[in-house]
Amino acid sequence: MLGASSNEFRSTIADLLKAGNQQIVLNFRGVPYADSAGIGALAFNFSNIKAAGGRLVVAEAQEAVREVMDVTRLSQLIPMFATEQEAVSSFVAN
Amino acid sequence: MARDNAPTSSISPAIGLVIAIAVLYFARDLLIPIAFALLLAFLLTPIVKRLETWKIPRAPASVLVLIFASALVSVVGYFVATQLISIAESLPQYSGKLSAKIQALEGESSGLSDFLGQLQDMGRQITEKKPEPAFPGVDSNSAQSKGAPAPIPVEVVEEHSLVQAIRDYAGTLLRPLGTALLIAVFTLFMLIDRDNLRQRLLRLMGQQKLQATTKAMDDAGQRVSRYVLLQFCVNAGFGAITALGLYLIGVQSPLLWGVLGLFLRFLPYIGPAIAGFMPFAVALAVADGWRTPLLVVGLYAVTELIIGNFIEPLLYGVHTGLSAVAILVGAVFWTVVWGPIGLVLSTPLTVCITVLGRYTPQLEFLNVLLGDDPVLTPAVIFYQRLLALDQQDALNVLENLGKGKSLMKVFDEIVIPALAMAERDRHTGQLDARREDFLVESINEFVTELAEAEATPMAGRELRNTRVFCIPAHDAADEIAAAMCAHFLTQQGFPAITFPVSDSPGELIHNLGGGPDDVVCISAIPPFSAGNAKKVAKSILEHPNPPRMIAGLWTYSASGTARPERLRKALSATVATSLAEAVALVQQIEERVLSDGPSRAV
Repeated sequence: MLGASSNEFRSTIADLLKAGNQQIVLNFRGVPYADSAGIGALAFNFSNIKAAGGRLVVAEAQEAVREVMDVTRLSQLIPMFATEQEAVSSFVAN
Repeated sequence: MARDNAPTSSISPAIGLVIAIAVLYFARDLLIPIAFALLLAFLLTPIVKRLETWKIPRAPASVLVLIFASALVSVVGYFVATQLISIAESLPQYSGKLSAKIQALEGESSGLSDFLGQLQDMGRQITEKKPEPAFPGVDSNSAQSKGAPAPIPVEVVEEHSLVQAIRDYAGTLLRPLGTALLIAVFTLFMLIDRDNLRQRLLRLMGQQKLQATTKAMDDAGQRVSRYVLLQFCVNAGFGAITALGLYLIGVQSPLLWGVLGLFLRFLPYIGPAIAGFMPFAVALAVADGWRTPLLVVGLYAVTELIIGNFIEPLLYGVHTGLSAVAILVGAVFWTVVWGPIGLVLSTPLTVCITVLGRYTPQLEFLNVLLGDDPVLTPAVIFYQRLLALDQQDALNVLENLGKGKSLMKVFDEIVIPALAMAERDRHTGQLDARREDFLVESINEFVTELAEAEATPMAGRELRNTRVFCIPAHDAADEIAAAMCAHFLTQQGFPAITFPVSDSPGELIHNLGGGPDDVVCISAIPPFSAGNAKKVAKSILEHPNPPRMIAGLWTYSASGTARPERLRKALSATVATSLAEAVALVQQIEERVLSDGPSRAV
């Protein structure tokens, strides 16, 4: 995920933050695989959300994506949930 | 003591070229024997050297080789001449068959034959001369009609003396003999005194150009020697195949035609045709019907087509360094300047001129025009296709240029230099926004596609501990290069992350918990790569416990031995100029961490 796709992802998150949405769930149901640039885009947005005082969680990550997040240790920073409902509920619990 | 006082010429290449051509033309009587001798020296030097290794001194070895070569040529010449005479003598008995074939042809094309006959008659009438009067101003017919005695024409015939006759014959015979002797003397001199000649040439070119001149002489020598040897081998193959073919077809004297083919094929383009015409003529005269002559034509055509189109390009393309067009242009040029002998010498001479262009900056155009070196680098060709907004063609070019290379080499040698060219053009205002977007998006797609095709599943890799953060220094081109680097690191088992361009990379790394166990690889493409990389490094060093850093200054050419050390200090990072170097550096860092424990020193 480089160039236009990365920029789109970045601007979507920036728009959400601007609109005051500081608790964001990323649903990865349709994402079968994440390369280094995809993980980079996720980490970049996580950093921005964290800097803005917000929180980012991931829902329904597939096995390949989970593995990449584990080896890059992003899973230690970004909570992952099996379902979107659980991810949303995590904000309430916090 | 030798002084370097070689003249430095201020003549422009064009004027120099004209002067050179004029000298070649007007001094051809002297230069042709020298060129021929040089060619023979190239051919015979390896044999002399071999004899020298057998403890035979150079002078006797050279004389022996020359005598042997002359004897060989004489024997072959004698064989060819006697055989040709014998065939010529036997041809009249076949005149009946030849006439029958001509009549058969005329019968089939009587219209054409009539037309040709009319043309011949017309020509005869035009060229037929009216008898001239014996004495100018006096009409012999009118004088006779008046009863006056007709004047007797008197012709003054110069008596040929014996001396005159000897002079006439000797002039015809001695000239080629004298040239042959001159060639033999030059060749012998070149064989015996080759070291001295080399030194004199080096001295003439000047000691400052010692390296270039030495390289040029070695290069020319190797290429011409290889060419002559290969040409001889190819021609011998041509002669052997045609001789065997003619024997099987049943043409008289196949060995003779094979030997003639071997020698005539040294004439580019027309040699094989002449070699084939003679057995064709004999077959036409001797054989019953058309089958045998047509088979002869087919044999020569097929053999020449296979050798000329498949075997020779394969051998000479690599060994002479001449393009096909250069061989053709060279053949025409040398034939115009030196006549038929120029045609024989054309390829070796063109090789020498191309080598001269290769090592003399002022004559570089000769190498560009005549040589077979690619005049554009693969990166330039790829970049050019992208500038033409032809994505599919650019991908085809990339795949073709990258054949046989690893993906890392393709990225290092083609894609990243193309990105650097785009960046340079963008900074100088030569790349408009539309092309720039197209170029970046296209390269991005290619890199993603090629990397995905090569990627191995994570389960198949040995996973390492060191995380690598690949950070672009400034823009999209740096980001693509960072993704390339991350791909190869991932393939080596490193957990690599490629970030988008960030205004505060230090904060980004800090928020991700980056520390001394991790490595940051800053990706920067010229121009201004060092400056941009320095800004990123500074931002990272502002935070506590920063990771180790390497700066990927892709395609950066460091000059001087102190340069990499100065850069390392300025950037607080070790510099890699290629993806291969960057991957190797990360591996080294991890090995050190494993052996020494975490440390900021790289």
